[in-house]
Amino acid sequence: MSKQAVKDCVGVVEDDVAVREALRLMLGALNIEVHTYASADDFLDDADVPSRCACLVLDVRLPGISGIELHNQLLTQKRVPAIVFITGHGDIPMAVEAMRYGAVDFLQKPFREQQLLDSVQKALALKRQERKKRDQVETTTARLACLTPREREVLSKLLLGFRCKEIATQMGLATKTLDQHRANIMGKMRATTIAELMSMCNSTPN
Amino acid sequence: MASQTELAKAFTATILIVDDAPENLTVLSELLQPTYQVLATHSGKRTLEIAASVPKPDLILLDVMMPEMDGYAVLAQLKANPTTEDIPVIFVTAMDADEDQRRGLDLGALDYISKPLRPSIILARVRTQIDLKRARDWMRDQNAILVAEVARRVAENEVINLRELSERSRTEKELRESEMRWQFAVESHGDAMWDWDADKDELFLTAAAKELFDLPDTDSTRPIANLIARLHPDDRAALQGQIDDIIAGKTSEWLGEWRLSRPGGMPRWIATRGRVMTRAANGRPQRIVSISHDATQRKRREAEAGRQKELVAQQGRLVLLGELASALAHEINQPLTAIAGFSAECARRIADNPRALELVRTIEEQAIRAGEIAWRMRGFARRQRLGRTALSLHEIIAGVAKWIRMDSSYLDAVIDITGVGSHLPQVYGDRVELEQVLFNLVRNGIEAGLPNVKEQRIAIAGRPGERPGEVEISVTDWGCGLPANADFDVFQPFTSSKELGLGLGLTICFSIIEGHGGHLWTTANPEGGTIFHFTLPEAGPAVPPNAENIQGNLSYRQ
Repeated sequence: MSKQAVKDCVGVVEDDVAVREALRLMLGALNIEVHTYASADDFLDDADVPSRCACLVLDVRLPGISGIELHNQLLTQKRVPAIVFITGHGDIPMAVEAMRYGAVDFLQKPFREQQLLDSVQKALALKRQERKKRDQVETTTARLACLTPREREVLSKLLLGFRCKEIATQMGLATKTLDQHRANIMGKMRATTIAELMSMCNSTPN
Repeated sequence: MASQTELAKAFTATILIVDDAPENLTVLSELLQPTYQVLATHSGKRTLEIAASVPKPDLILLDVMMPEMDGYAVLAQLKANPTTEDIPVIFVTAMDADEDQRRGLDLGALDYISKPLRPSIILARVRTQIDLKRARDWMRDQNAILVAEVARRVAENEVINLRELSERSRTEKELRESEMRWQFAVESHGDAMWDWDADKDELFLTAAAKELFDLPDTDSTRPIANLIARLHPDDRAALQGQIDDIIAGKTSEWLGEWRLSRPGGMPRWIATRGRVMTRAANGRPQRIVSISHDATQRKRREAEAGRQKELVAQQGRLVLLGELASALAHEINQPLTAIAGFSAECARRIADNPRALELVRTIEEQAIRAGEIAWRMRGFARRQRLGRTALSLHEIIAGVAKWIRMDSSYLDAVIDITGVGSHLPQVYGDRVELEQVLFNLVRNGIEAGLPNVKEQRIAIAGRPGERPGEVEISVTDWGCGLPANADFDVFQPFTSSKELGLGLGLTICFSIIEGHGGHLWTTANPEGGTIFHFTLPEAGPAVPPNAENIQGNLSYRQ
């Protein structure tokens, strides 16, 4: 719950000073932290913002490194902010390309404030969801690490849909022993039903 | 042997070539020597001497532009001398020098040949004139015999007996035969001949002429007025005017192209050249002989070529409009975005003042509306363009090269397309847009030509691109090259190294090629000049993406 106190960080890269200022003011309507830059280089050079930025409002045509090039560059990094492209050109092939590489939206200038806010919120929601999922995966992985090899074997059979009796026969164990294993697994994984256990493990690799 | 050569010479027509440029004399001599006896001189004065001596030339090819005595002066003197006045003269003029050609014809030249010299045309025109001259000579001889015969009989006041009657009819028969030969000479070139007696307003037409004019045999009263009445209304005044000029003695030639309406048929274009053959003592023209041919096919081809050119020009205007709208949209959309943004912020700060809030919201709405207009303008110009199909680059390039060669403003350009094989794969695109790109690049190359170079060479070549599934086309010139400075981007709008350039030509090329999924870039020609390269994706067997659909899927929320 303490996470709610940390504001989302949004970057803006736009070379036109008036547009940049207008973007800063519009985004001010959201309860977020806004950083504006005149070029891709300025953004990349800023200490920690590139790494913790959740959303980047990015002009397509910029002097020096273009918006598209910056996007490509960010894609090679571990944590990619969700991109909202803005353009005065609206090149259709470019838009198609950008969406294919995961841009959230492509806005034609001029746009209504509401359009921008919708797009940015959509981007932030996406990032939040991503983060939630990542956190979930992390916890599940940590819990899985607490299981004994025998428990892990039982778990994998449970996930394949075998009943306890079947598993006991397969592994040559007493039904009672297997029930104990199952209870231990549920406890360590903090799951109350097998269905919950399945959905937890399905979102994790292995 | 000697006698045979003599004999051959007697039947071989003699042609005198007059030109101050030795290379032209060489070219023409080599061309005509196999068929005719050729005399040549580079001086006007010598021309007059040669024309008056034996063997008298049967035809003179006369260059207009000569130092000392020009072609007009030579022609005037030839016509002033009774010995030389009947030698046919063909003017040799620079192409498109309409005024020269008209003036030459007015002075009595029978035809003209335009430079650059084209062998097939020269041979055809010379042969026509030589055939006509022979026919005329024959007619004149026959006439002379007939006139002498009649004169003798009138003088002797002889009663015509049967024998003489038959003799006379034989002369008439010979005359008829000569006329047939004469007609044959004309008609073997696909031309129709007609002869108008202006005094009697009688028209004599060869069979081919009757067929050409679609005239029934009974049409004999006021034939010229009838002919004029059958022309397209827009052409009547022109012919009437020419006839009036001839009757008034202002000119002795006519030259025209008329549309003849035909009952139950398509109108026919008729090209005619006529001249006064005999005049009364007071100079009033009596007989006007004309040669006509059916020009419908040529006119249709010209119209087709004109339509093609117009289509390309129209397309060019749309692309230009689209590019202007695009540049405008971008420039104007920046401040509009700022206006909309500041208005929104302002609205938040005056949320407690409903009236002011409404006004500020209106400002935001109007800024958005202005932006929509700019986008719509751009979209409109794009939508008007033609659709895409699989195209042969070889065909497109050959077509563009042909236009450039046909365009008289690029006479000194040599377009080399030997590097474009017909084996090049097909590309998927808009024919007219790609033609536009090639046309612009080639024209740019020609206009980049160095002033001291006579021949502007442009080479177009094609090869597989560096990436698979791509074709690369290059357009090379040997001109002045691009400015070396790094800030100079030829593809930016309103960038031009030409004094009168709008700076949009290459921007348009760039946007068309990008729109086709290709790239356009330049490199320096190692031999001096510039090479433009562009790539296009090959047309695959798969169903091509529809640009309109993509646009539709990406429509932005309002």
